[in-house]
Amino acid sequence: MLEPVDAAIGAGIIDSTTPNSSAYHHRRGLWHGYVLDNDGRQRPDPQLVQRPYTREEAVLLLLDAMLAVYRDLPDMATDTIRELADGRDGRALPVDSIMSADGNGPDDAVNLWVTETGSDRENRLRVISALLALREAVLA
Amino acid sequence: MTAAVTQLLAELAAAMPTVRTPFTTADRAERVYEAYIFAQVVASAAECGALISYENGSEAQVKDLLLRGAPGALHVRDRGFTHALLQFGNARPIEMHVRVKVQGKSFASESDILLLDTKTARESRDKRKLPAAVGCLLSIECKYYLVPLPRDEAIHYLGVRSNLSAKMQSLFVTNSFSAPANQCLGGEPWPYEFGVLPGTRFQQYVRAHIRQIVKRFIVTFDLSHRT
Repeated sequence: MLEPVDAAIGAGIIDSTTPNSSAYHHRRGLWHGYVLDNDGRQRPDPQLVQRPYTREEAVLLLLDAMLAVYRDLPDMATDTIRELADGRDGRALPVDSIMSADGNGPDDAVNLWVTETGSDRENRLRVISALLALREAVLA
Repeated sequence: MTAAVTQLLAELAAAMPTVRTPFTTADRAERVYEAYIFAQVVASAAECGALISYENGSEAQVKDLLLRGAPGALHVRDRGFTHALLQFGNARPIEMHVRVKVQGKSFASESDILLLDTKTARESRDKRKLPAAVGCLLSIECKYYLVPLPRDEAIHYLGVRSNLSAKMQSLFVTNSFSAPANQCLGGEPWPYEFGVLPGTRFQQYVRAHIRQIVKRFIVTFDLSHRT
């Protein structure tokens, strides 16, 4: 799951820059009696610029990926189970369980989505809290 | 600073062996993300006054959902995969399927979430052929990435999209963001949303897109429904 993160760090980041856009941030007005028209006729043209990740950005990308694995995805699964079981004030049939198949064949495994136990959640929260503290330390 | 980080790394190393996470492969993450978007369509439909139930391929009501793990044909009933049924007033019911193939102009392609009216779905089941995109309401492409969204994903989506009927709406949804993907998608007429995760404003935008598309379908059947 984290392999693409290494690849992305190796490939670098692509940012957008907009040459000539600054002229548009200057408001029209008078300068020594002359009318200023900074709009001119140039059209801003956003461009993509590739650069390497800084060490800090690379560490943050890895930490965010780990937070996705240990916090975002499990929370998303829990929220989805809860939302579909909710019944929406009688508008939706409450769902008893969710299963996802590994494939469509008769022999492909079926995975039952289970809500985590209290101790599982506590253990996960310890990992999340360490990851968040590390993130703060990187930003400090 | 170094001592503090070393301490935090030690805490992390001690905590990690106690945690089990099923999300060690990208495939598992994609399945959860698709189900999350499926739940967003259900929520959006409920907000718009629909009655929602779930069925298997034989149109029998179910309460245990079985979602596809690979692209399949909605007319294949062997495994009993589930679809949602959204009923708005007197409009023809809408079916929502996960990971089914749609017949485009030149080739068949996968739709992560497909909304189509029951007439088109029944024709597909009865004739045992893929539904034509022209008879479908909406296809949602769901992409979950831990890194900035690769430009290739956006290019691939637009290639597939160009093969589908312009009458079928589509929506590209991802948790991620990238400037190159934004550049690709921004020049096209099809809506797309980055950063779609629980509790974000982007989630609300996705629900609003779905509402608009469903609303235009309902008005062709029921003029008094206040979607």
